[in-house]
Formats: sequence, C-alpha cells, structure tokens
Amino acid sequence: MQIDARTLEQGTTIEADVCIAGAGAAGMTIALDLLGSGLSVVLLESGGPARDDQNDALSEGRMTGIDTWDLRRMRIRALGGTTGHWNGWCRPLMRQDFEQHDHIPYSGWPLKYADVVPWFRKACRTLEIGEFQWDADERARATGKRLLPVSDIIEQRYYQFSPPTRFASKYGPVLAQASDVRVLTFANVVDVRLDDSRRRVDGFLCRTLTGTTFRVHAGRYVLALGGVENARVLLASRSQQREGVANGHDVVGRYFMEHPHYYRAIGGVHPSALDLGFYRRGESDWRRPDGSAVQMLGALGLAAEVSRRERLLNFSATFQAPGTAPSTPAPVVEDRLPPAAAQALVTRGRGGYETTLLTVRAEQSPMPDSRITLTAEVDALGMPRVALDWRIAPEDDVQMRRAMVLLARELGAKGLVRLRVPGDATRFVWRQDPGGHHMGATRMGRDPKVSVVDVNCRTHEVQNLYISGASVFTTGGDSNPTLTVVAFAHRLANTLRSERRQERSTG
Amino acid sequence: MTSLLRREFLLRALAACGTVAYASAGPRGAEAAGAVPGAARSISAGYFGDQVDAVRVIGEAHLRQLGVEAGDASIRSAARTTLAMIERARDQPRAIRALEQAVRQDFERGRTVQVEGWILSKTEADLCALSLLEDDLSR
Repeated sequence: MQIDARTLEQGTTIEADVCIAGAGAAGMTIALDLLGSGLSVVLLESGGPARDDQNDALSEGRMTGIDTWDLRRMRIRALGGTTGHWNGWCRPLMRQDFEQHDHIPYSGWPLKYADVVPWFRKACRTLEIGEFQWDADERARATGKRLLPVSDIIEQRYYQFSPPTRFASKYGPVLAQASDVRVLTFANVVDVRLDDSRRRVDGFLCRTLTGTTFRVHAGRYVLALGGVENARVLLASRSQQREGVANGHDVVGRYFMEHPHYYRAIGGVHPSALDLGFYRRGESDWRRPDGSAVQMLGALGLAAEVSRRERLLNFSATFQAPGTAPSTPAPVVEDRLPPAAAQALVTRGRGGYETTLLTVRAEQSPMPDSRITLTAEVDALGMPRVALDWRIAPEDDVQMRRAMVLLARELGAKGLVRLRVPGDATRFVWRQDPGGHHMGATRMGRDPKVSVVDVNCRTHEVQNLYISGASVFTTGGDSNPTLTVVAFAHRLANTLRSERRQERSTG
Repeated sequence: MTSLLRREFLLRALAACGTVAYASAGPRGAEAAGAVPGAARSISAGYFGDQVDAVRVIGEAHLRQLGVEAGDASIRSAARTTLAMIERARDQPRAIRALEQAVRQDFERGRTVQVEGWILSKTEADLCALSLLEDDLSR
C-alpha cells in the first residue's frame, strides 16, 4: 500500500512492527525481505515517485573539507533513492577489506568476509548481475578474453554491471501491492524520540513539506537514509539529549570516508599488439532471464599479501577505453604521447605503440576528524543542515604512490605497459575526486567508543534502532559500495526476521 | 631546447624504451649498426632502435635528478654498473640481451627511477645517460 503522507491528518500516529526510514536500495531491500514475515512494515520516503527540486533541496549542505560533489545532486530523495541515477558498478568489499591491518588505523570489521558471502550472493540477484564469482581467470576463460600475463603480485579483478536496477520501477510496485507494507511518500523523519530509559526508540517524529506532522510508533526502527542523512538525523535528534541519539561517545558523523577517485591519473604507453580486451567494458558470459548480457570490466590491484606486506591501502586501476570522452573533469596529463611521436615505437623500433590512461579508485584510512557535523542553518523542515569535512590522511598519499610504483614495476618487468605516476618521489599527487560513496559516519564495530552500530547493525546505545547503508562501513575498501550495502540490508532483514521468530517462540 | 621539444623527445624516448616481452625480434639497430663492442653510445642507440634524440633527453633528465654534470667522466661514474655490463659483453647483440635481462630484473627487484613521472629501470636510465657521451669509447 502506498500513502501520500501529505494527506494524513495532523498528529496521526501510525503503528507498525518495523519502521524503515528511507526507500532507497537499503530500505527497499529490507522491506522486500520482510514481506510475508508476519511483520507489519512502514517504509518512509522523503520524496515521491519522481525527483523534484523542493525535496532535493533538503539535502543541501556545506563542504568544509575536500570539495566533493554537491550533496543536493548526489542523493535522490524519491522512491528508489540514489538507484535512480546509479551507474550500476558492482564489486563486493574484498576479504582483506574486512580484516584488521596495523597500517590502517581503526580498521577491522567485527565480522568476516565469509559471514557476508551468503548475503552477497543474494544481493547479486537483487541487483541483477551475474553470479557471486570474482575469479578473473575463470571469467577470462569463460569469455575468451586474455588477462595480462602478470605475476601474482598483481590481483586481477573485475566489476560487474547492474542494468542498473532502478529500485523504484523494479521493486516499487511489489511493495505498493503488499498488504503488510505501507509506503509513506513525502514523509521525513525529523526527530528520533526515545522512551524514558533512553535505551529504546519510542517513535519517529515525521513531517511533510506541507506542514503535516505525524508519528510512527514501531517495535523496531531502521535508518536507511543514505551515508550522510543517517548521521544527520541522529545528530539532529537532540530534543531529549544534547548530543543526539546513539552518540554518547561522540562518534556519529566521524570517520566519514569516500573512495578517492583519481581519474586518468596514470599515464601509460603500451605496444599496439597488447590485448586489453578484458579491461574494456564488454559482455560477460552471464545472461539475465530477459537474455541481456551482464557487462563486466577488468581491473588491476595488488594481491592482498602484497598490500599487507607493503602496508598499503586497497585500490583498483582501470584502463580508459580508447576514444571515450571524460565524463568527469580531471587534470590534463601533460606528457601524453603526441601523435607526432608515433614513429617512435614503444617496442624499441619494433611495432606500434598506444597511449592510455588509468583511473584509480582507492581506499582511504578512516579518520575521526573526517566528519559530518550540523550547522546553524536549517532546511525547510527546520532540520539543521550538515557540514561535510571530508579529509584524507597525508599517509594515504604516500601509500598510494608506493602502490602505483609497485604496479608500474610489475607491468614494466613483464614488458606490458610503462606507467607515469604523478606526484613527487614521496607522495602521489592528483586531484581527489569523490565517487559519491558516503561511508563510515555510523560505523560498525565492537567498541562503542569508536563505532555506532554492532555486528548486527544495531546501535550500541539504543536497543531497537538499526542502521543500514554505507554509513555502517568500518572501512571502505575500494569497491563501489552498492553491492555491499544491499548485502548488509539482506542480512539486517534476516536479523529482524530472526528476532521476530525468537520473540514468538519465547511468547 | 624548449620544454615542448624536450617533452616530445622524452615521450619518443619512453616509447623507444618500450617493452621487452612483446618484442619478438632483436632490436632493429643492433646488428645493423655494427657497433664496435664497448662503444656505449652505439650500444645505447642500438638498444633503443636509434631513437637517439629522445633517449638523450631522458639521459639529461636522469642526470639532472642525480645532480650529475653531463660530462663524460661523471656520466661514466653515474652509469658505471651499466657500463661494466656493456663492457663484459663480447659483441653488441650480447650486450643488448644482457641489458634486456638487466632491465627486467631492475623492475622485478625494485631498481627503478622516476624520470619526469615515468617509472624506468635504473639500467635503462643509465643507458640513456650513456647516449650523452661525447667520447664513445668506454673505458
């Protein structure tokens, strides 16, 4: 059932077993998984069926750190959330991304990669990609494409591409027709109200842009509002506690991470004969039920043991397809081989050469000072706007340079590609663009002093409050987050169902 | 030399440095040049397929980074390991094969230098520097 919250009577209270705030990839996934569970669900969405400026304006915020893309444009406040303009890049966080590393402060998830694999598999189906199978050798064999003949220093990787799945059109109708789900559009959470114990949520206070105020009272509450808004709502819910909700240790909003994207940062020269087919976006061997091919794109990273030994952050490098116009502004590579030099052959006088550019998508270290805070400005609902102070540790640039030099040495040793690494002899220097991946501001961990949610995505401080989305990431790896976000949403839905079963069995 | 020309030369040289694994035959210039064994500048030219001007630009940049004057003695000193390798070879083809192996090993063992951003093997960079020798007799 779908209800326009603007039509509710002022002061209405809606009862449900589970209230999910946010109908994007995470929130819709949870709602879908709870169908038939016996739990009544209310799914709140800030926008309506389509994007509109008035709603998007609610996301405006100030950038006080590294300049990132406009928050207002980056997130979509409408059914389906940001899947409405997502490009479909899928790769899971990797095994090593979940581990604790001495050289990455605050690293180490409270669960292992293997614990998430069943949910990753399910997420692959939700996002309409191929199997949860990431062995590049196997994929190359299956597609008849060739991997670069590099040593095991390099880890060959690939992305899969979702069609991309637009959750509003794909799953919206299912939820709208469900008898046990009520989808409330134009409904914004403006305050998380706690009970007298301050250990449980008593209700979400909600408001529409037309001035209707109502309350949702539920047994369990999930915030699935996006990586910035999850933190914003917790910080802004200070009607009962000055620090906000679930923020007794001043962690909410901290450890904000992005994936620094170094677009076309690495110059390369290679023989024309080099086969880069695996590293160009193209069809995989997987087919969807409608017959369409799942697309894939090969990438290069360092093997986990090399990253560990050399104390490096994770990254993946992709080759720019020839003839593609840059969609994102980036610095110009000054030393691209000009056509006039084409007679000088890359193979020392034997055969032709080509130039290429590599884009690097990188991990960043979590930092407490990279954070979201509230400003004195308010939006049309009276909610404080955020200041986003995205920071990257200087050590990350040092690690990135070492990583790129290792990549260059391996490609040089095998006579494949010569690389030009920007920066000086100590640091990688290139413009750090965001990926629109807002991670870490309500991070997962065992220690409430440095994390907001536990291994089950439940807040340490508030027993019936859960968080879903990339804001729970302890570390971000370099993989695009959507597949992992959806995997954790499936897992959280399973937790909610299990808790329901447990309650029933104990009467 | 203008910076534009320098860049052009550098890029040509980088292209000339190229790759080993994808090359099926020996360097074009090696046998044809018929260089006298021990003639470092000729070996350099042969190795890089006669991309002499471009190679010299890399050599200059490499020496600049090392803080070395572009005089014969200082070049020989800076590139002595590579020079010794050339001198040990009985003829130019053998010298070039030895250099190819050394370049590969440089990359594998991390003996690289960064010249104007490009990651080159130390041997390659030395070889570029040797192309700057005025007196081509190595000793």
